[in-house]
Order: sequence, then structure tokens, then C-alpha cells
Amino acid sequence: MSTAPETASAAPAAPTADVPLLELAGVGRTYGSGPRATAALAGVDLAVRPGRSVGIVGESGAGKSTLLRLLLALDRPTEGQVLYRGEPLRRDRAAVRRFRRDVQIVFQDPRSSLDPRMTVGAVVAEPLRSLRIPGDRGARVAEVLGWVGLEPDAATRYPAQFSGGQRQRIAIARALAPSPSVLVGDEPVSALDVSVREQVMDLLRRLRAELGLTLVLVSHDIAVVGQLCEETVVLHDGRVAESGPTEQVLTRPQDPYTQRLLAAVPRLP
Amino acid sequence: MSLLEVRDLTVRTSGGRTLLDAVSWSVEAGGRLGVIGESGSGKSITALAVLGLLPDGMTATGEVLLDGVDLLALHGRRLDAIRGAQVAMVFQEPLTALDPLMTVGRQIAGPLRLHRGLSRAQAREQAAALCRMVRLDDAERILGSYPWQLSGGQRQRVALAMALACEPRVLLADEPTTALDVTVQAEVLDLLDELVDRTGVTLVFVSHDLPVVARVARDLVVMREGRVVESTTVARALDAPADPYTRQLIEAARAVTRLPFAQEAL
Amino acid sequence: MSADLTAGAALDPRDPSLAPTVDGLAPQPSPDRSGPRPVVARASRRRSPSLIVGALLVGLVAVVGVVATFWTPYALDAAGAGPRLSGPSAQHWAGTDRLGRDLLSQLMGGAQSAMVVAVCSVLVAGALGLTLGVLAAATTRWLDVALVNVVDLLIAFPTLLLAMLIVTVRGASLTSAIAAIGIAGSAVIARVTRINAARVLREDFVTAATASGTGWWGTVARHVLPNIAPTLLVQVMLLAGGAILAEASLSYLGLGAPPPQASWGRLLREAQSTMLVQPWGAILPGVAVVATVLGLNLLGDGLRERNDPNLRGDR
Repeated sequence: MSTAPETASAAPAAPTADVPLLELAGVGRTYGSGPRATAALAGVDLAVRPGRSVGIVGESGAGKSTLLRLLLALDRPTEGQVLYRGEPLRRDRAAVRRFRRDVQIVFQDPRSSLDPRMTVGAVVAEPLRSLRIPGDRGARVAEVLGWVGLEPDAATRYPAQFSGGQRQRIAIARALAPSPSVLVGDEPVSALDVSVREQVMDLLRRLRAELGLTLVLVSHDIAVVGQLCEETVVLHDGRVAESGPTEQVLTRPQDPYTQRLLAAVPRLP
Repeated sequence: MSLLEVRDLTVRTSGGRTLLDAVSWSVEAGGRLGVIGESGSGKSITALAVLGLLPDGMTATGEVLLDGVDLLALHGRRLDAIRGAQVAMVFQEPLTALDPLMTVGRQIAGPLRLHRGLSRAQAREQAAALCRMVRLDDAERILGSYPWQLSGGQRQRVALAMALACEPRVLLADEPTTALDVTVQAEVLDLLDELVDRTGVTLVFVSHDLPVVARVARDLVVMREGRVVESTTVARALDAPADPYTRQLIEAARAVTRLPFAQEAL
Repeated sequence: MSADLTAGAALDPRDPSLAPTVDGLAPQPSPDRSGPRPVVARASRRRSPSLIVGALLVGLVAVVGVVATFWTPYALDAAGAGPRLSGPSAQHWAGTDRLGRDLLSQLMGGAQSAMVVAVCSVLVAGALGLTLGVLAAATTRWLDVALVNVVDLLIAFPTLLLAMLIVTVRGASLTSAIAAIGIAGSAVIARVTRINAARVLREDFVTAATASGTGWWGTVARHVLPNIAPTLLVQVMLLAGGAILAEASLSYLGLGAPPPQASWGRLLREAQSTMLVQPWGAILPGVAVVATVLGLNLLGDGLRERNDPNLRGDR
């Protein structure tokens, strides 16, 4: 068992800290049928517990995007189950709404993840509107924009008027608006310049600590994942090559692929 | 004595915007120069300008001296004679850098037949040898394949083979490993390292990725918004960068690429 | 990301298994990494000449058409208002036709017809085309395949033939013309809508909207439509030009609105045999059609110019 690191405060709504917020049990996803069927994922077991952020590392073709879609209930597995707070996700609208309030996502490309025709305020308020969250939307928008370090007047401008790093912050603000417990990131910093990357990583760290957010980061960059997540899952060819506490995976990797991956990371002397 | 020298290179768009502002750097024969910068720094434009590959509408002033000859003043056939034969380039995107409609063998043979006047058979033989040089075993199968049948790493090796086919004096590499997976990147960088050593070609490596540049380059030019901010060596930059921007860049790179739990190499 | 499929009804643009995942290729970061960017002004600095000329031409015709609804110098059916086939004069600025009707009034009435046809058929085509296109792009694959085939059939069917069919059933009138042109035009709109809607649906911000709880209607109304609107607007302009040409052709063939409704096409046909006596009777309606269609095309081109470089906002 891993030694308990300084964990963020548990998500307020969880009655038992034992029940994972999200869980994939024996999950597989196969596309097509018959001889042309391809298994993008097979036999994946993964648990996201409150306060223990999970990093999913994989190269291209590993099945990261498929995994993400399953985690976000944007797709259904062909084998196994996806569980939300211990239960399979129900399809009725109320259940889906509760899920979406609780699990939010930030995408990789800050240019395409914000609708260019909407103002920043409308973009950030969209989850509030679609999920019928009561309260003063304008105030909430200003609040989350402040959390990510943007001025409230940003709400009246358009995404094209901001830099890539700022747009990523806007995307994070949108994800935070419905007060989720889980923030899923799909390569959230890969498309950013190095200095901006550092800032956004710091932001995620802060949010994790101050809001008790549990992060699920999917990335090809093991350094990013390693720095922000207490648990690491290494994905290779649609299967979990290795998983465990980050310290263990990074310092004593068992699987040869993990070892190769770690050896390949270019390091600064 | 520098082999390739860029002097006061200024590039402007047709709309009047300045992309490069009096950029100057040089690299001596057999040297390895890294050009590092963030987006908008103009690093890729610099590489393109050297070979006269700027998009239409952009104008370049200044000098690009290859052994004293100004490449910017060359046009048409004289410039063609330089490209591929004296100065070669490898690009970032393996998918688009190769002609999708031509077999790889023909593409590698291309510069050989063009610059060296080899016959088809001779060029094919040379191409096979080049494949082996870039560690693409099973050369016969590779030569007969189309680019889409190869992986990204294989395509980049093919690009390297094409670039080094005519034994150029200078190899320009513009983010050659950025679009590759980490494990593949490591292999290609190792290969590049070995090839540069073996052939003695002068390397100019453009990238935004500091650890990657540090891996292959000895000298370093830091660019920002079209200007050269600092000209130094990799060692000095990592140890004691003079310019505050460089310092900030290096610190950020360290922070972002740090593998926690400071584990030893496996 | 998935390949841009512009043809091929059998391939579902949204099927993730079609996304190329060649090993060795890391996820493509957007080439424009972050970095301070200048505030991008919305409108381009240069005014497009096409836009201005087009707007002027169309505006002129539109104004004339509106005015004609309430007033023309002479009544449209006033035969014998002046000497037959006379040239331009003080009482009849454009001359008269072979029945002695004032040509200028006829031209103005023709402008009104043209405007009515353009607007109404575009509305019909737009409503029908948009619905078909969105349904094809945003629902099941089977519906997509079915609709693509229907649309292709419609595009292949000559507008004039369709018009003749409708006229045979409903009789020649402005409404028949509008119906025919509207239905034929809807096919083009449907095709453009489908491609662009499919493209927008592939964007990350649509997935983000779904993850934010936005449902099908919300996505279509708030994300798809606003983003395809600029392209559609251009198509609509071009369609309007085509509609006016089509109406002129129909009237020329005698399938358009019967008198007293004026129509440039019918004027052309009537003036055919008497061109040498009163050339203006043929020249003016011809010029009117050309000017209007040209104006709409220029307007469409001008809008297209404004769309492209602007939306990107890149260096």
C-alpha cells in the first residue's frame, strides 16, 4: 500500500470515501464487428477515488480518447461497466444531469474547444444553463473567471481575442462552473507553450487543493501526469500496462513498456 | 570560420508585419546549433528563409551566407542546386512532408538522381543503403511502400534518409520529433545524433522543446517574437543564462518536465 | 482527428474508428501554441468592392420592387396607355410595348416579382434545406444515407422540368414558380448544410457542450446553426440569384406568373419579335436580370471574402 500523501479534502458530497467517484470495471470497447473488429480498449480496470487524482499515460493508439469518452459517458463500453459513485449510470435525464454536473472536462486544443461565435460569458455559462443550475449566472461566471485568473470583463469578449493559455483557462472556468467533483483533462497543457504550461499546471494544482477537485488527466506526457496525480495508469495498446500510486510507477515500474516510456522521456541535465 | 551564417535577416509579410527582425547567428562546420523559441518566435521562419522556402508574399532582406555565398541572392537553378545537395531540411509533420502518391523508394532516390545524376538502378541501390543507415531494416519492403503504409517514426527516418542522401553540408531540422510519440522520439533523436556524428554534417535544430534541443545541440540561439534574445551554448544556458527571458524559459522547462520523486535512470 | 469526409454517404463523419491512428504519431497539438496575441478586430480593414457594388445593385432593385408594390407610373394592365412600340419619351421614360403599356411600369413590376420570388423561394429552400441538412448531419447514419440520396436525386432533376410538373398540376402562377424553385434550391442548401454541420459537430466545443449537459436541440440551435450561418448566407445569396434567373426562364417559357403580374422574362419573350422596332423592350429587361443576378453574386462573393480570413483570426 502506498503511504498516504497529503491528500486534498474529500469531495463534500461523498458519504463514503471508499466508493470511487468513477470506476471502469473490466471495460472494453470494440469497434466494428466480425473479422474487421478492432478493440480500442480491453480489460481496463480503473478507479478514481475522491482526493486521489489519476493520471492516464499513453502514446497514440493506446486508447486514450476511447477511454476518455467512456469516462465521460459519451460512449458506452462493449464489455464491462462504467460506474459512477458505485452505480452504473442511469440513462434518465435527471441522472445524466447529475453526472454531468459532477464530472467535467477540459480539452487539449484551446482553439477548438470554445465556440468562436459565443462570448466567453456564454461559453462559461453553458453548463449552468444546460444543467438548469439555479442561481445568478452572471455572478457565478465572474466568480469562476476570477478563480482561473481572468478579469470579469473577459465575459463580454470573444475567444479569438485571447491567447491559447487564456483560452485554456476559460475552458477550465467553464468546467468549474457547475462545481464538479471530478475534472477530466484531455492533454490539457500539451498545446501550450512551455511557460504557459507551467502556469496552467500551477492553476490545476491550486484548484485541486482549494476546491477539493479530483483530477483525471489523460496525457502522453508522463511528467505532467506525474506531477499532478497521486495515481498513475499506463495505457498501452488498449490495455492497462501498469497502474498504482505515482511514486511506485515512476520509481519502481514493473512493466517493460513503462520502463521504456520512462527511459525515453528527454530530461534536462 | 562559420559555415552557415545568417546576418541581419529580416522577414516581412505582404501586409507589413515583421516576422523576423535582424536575426543573426552562425554555426561553424561540424557544429550543432539549436534554435529554441516559443510560438511566434519566428524560429521556423528562419529555417525556411535559409532555403528560400518562405511562403508567397513574404520578403526577406539581409544575408544568409553558406561558405560566403549569399543564398538569399540566389534564384532558380542556382538555388535548386543548393537545396538537397548542400543544405537539406527535415520537417515536423511526417504525414505531409512526403508525397503520398510516390513510393518511398522513388522519393529517396529523387535527390540522388537529381543532384548526382545516378541511374535508376544506382539510385535504388543507394536508397537501400540509406535505409539501412537510418536503421530501417527490411529496406526492400520499405522502398516499395507508400508513406501512408509506414508509421510516423518510419516516415521521419525516410525523411532523414532523403535529406542526407546527397551528403549535404548543412542539415536543417524543424521540429522533427514534435509530432512523434515519446518512445519513437527517443529513437529518432538517437539516430540523428549518431548520423550527425558519423557524417559530420552541420546541424541546425529548431524546436520549442528544450530537453530535446539540449539532447542534440551544443550551441544555442534563443528567439522571441522575431528576435534573437541570446546566443550561447546549451551548457551555459542551463547553468547560468544571461538573459532574463532565457532564464525564465529554462526554469519553466525544468518545472514542466520534472519527473517527481527524482528517480534515478533505470 | 478524423479525416474530412466531404463525399461518401456511407461513411459516418462521427465514427471514431475512422480517425487515423497511425502508431508513432503523438496527438497533434494545435500548431498555434499560445503566446500573446494581438486583439483581433472583427471586420477586415479593406472594404470589399464586391460587397459594395453588390449591395448597391441589389438595394436598387429591392427599392424599386418595394415601390412598385404601391405605385407605378401607369397601371400594369393599362393597354393603350400610349402609342404601341414607341421609344423612350417624356411620358414613357422607357417607351411602350406592343400593347401600348408603359415599359417602365412593367420593369418596376418585374422588379417586384423578382424580389418576391427571390425572397420566398429562398425562404422555402432555406427552411427545407436546413431541416434536411441538419437531420442528415446530426442524427442517425441511416437517415443520413437516405437523405443524401434524396438530395442527390433532387439536384440531378432539372429545375425547369420540376417547374413544368408543378405548373401542370397547379397551374402557372407566382406560387408555382416559388414552389418549384424553392424545392430545387433546397437540395443545394441541404448539401451545404450537411457538410458544414457535420464539420461543426466534429469540433471539440460540441463535445464540450454535450459534456456540459446540452441536449440535441440546444447543440443544433446554439452551436451548429450560428457556426454554419456565414457559409449558408453566402449560399443563400447565390441561390437568390439563381432563383431570379429561374423565374425569368420560367416566365420566358410562359410557365411563370400570368399577366397582369409583370415579369422580366415575359417581357423578353414578348419583345422578341419586335426587337428591331423597339429595342429597349428587350434590352431593358435583359439588363435588369443581369444586373440583379450580378448584384446578388457579388454580394455573395463579398460576404464570402469577409468570412474566410476573418474567422481564423490567425497570423
